[in-house]
Amino acid sequence: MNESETNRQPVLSAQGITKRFGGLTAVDDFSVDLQRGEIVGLIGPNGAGKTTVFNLLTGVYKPDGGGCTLSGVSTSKLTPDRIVALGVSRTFQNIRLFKDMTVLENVQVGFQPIVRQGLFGAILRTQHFRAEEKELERKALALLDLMGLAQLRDARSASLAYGQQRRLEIARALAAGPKVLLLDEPAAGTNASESVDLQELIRRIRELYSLTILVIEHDMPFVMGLASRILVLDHGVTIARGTPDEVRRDPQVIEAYLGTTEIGKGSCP
Amino acid sequence: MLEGLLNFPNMANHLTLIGIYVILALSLNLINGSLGAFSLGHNAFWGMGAYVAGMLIWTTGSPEGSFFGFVGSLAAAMLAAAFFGLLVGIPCLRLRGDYLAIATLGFAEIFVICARNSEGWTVFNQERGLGGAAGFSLGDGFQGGNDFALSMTGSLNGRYLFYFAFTWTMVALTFITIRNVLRSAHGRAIESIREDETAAELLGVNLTHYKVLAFVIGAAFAGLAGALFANYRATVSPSQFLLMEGIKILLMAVLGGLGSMSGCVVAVFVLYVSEQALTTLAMHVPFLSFSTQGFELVDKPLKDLWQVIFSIILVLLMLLKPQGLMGRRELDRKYVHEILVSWKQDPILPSVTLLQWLLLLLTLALSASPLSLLASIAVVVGLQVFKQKRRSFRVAAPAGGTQA
Repeated sequence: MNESETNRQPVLSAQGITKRFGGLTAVDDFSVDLQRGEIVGLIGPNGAGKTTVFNLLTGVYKPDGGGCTLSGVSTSKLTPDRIVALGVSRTFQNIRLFKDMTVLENVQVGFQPIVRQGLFGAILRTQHFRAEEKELERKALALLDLMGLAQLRDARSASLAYGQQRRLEIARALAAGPKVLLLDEPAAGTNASESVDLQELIRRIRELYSLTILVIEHDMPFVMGLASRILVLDHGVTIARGTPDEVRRDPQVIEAYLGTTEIGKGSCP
Repeated sequence: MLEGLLNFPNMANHLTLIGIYVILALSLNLINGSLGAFSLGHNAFWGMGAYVAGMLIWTTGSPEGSFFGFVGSLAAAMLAAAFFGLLVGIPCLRLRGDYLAIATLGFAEIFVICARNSEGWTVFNQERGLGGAAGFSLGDGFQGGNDFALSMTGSLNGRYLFYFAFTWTMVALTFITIRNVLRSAHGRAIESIREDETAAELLGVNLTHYKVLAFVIGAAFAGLAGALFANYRATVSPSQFLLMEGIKILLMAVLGGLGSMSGCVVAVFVLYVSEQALTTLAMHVPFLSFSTQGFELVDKPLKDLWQVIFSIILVLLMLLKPQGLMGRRELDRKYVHEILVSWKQDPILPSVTLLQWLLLLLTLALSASPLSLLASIAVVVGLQVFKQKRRSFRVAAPAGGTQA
């Protein structure tokens, strides 16, 4: 990790994005520059506006002020499916798998931005169509293999265990070949040993797919061990940013979020 | 009842109509089952196809008809219905759930009302426009005229056979086309919208594109069914495409299991045959009648009440099997295998179910008195209790209790 090298163009950049819902300012003047290859943590108490930031970055909400760029291209006016095609994928806080579809099909839907098959090719089952379908299946199985889900390929996704569903969401998000991966509480509901495995997994996919990752997480040891930089949101305002150590010592953060210093002490490397 | 159904031209006639309903149910299933958009306006797309095909034959056809005229009318009907689907789909598909249902229902009503008041559309025909409420007939229909099938085969029976074969070829074509669409990236995108719209969009699925695509394909095949129907019946009138027909198609798709294509085909057969059977019932039942003199019981033929019985059967089916006959399963090798395995484990339960249905149908069709009907219902209920008992016994002792 060479996060000190800041003169490069950021992969994903948000400049002063603001979102209001009626009288409530959910996100206020949020800025972040994600450099290629880094893992950035986004923390904050419940209702701080973390998921709203994700929704702004992925185009679910349009910002009331400010804007986002992906590798220099403005994404503020694009629909979510266009932004995915440009290279921003995400997972969801409350798992949103396609429940009645199989594990394999879930990942295959993720290929949507890169499929080239035409409708008539599909109806007539042309050579080109079959070749692409075969290729997609191979790639999907490779992703499932990486997530340790390959043997469950034909299972209904809703029948998976909780941790498996989380990993399937990551596999599905990776299918589009993103540059930036946004993970919304990937460690929620996992126990200590699973969360260590998950850290390993996230680092591995970062290397394999040269990803830049922004991760929301409540599990402090998890996010402090994983991220090289951390941003802290409270009531939509960014109250601190810096390395895990800096954030942990920041008095404002301790007051607003960590409450007592004990939480941060734990098991950070 | 049976001889009415089973002799040759009748049989071919029924199978042709069943084929047309299968095309309709399959195309609606793509919209309601796979896309998950609740559309209630399928009768309008059907009618659209029928009107366009009928009008083309009527205004441009020659007395003996031609193959190109026939096939051309099918193609034109598909295109027109697809275009109509595009027009309806783009505004309506922004809506969800009940709102979409009401909007599509509204469009379907607009179609029917326009058709009913189409005497003035003299662009198509100098004297009668599109025929208004009475509709119009394509040439002289069964007597000759613009009837390609009749002039090709040379006899009425030949005509029946032609339409039977052609319709089922079209059914196969529809089935394969829709199945191939569903088993592709397009189909997976359509189904992902049904499962979770937000997640689908955030995985790169263009919602508008795929919603409209499914809607347009569904409408196009409904148009094909309409064109077949118009050519076969040789008459077109608004009363053939009322809301009730749309609901009937919806029932077929729901009963088969939304999302299951083979379930759809099975359901069309079940509903069509039970409707035909119920309308030919011989039994009379006492029926309560009100008048100014007070109440009295009158003997009424049961077939006059067929819609009541039909509805009761539907209510029962939905209560007992809300996911439809097949759920989202397809009638493939795996499914047949599972049925065979469960049959081997306990052949008694499914045989009893079969016996119940046979008993009910036979009493309804053959017996002449309400008393025998009541007795038969009592036996069916008794068998149901027996099934429940046996089922709970099997659950309690699954290991030893099966073949004991």
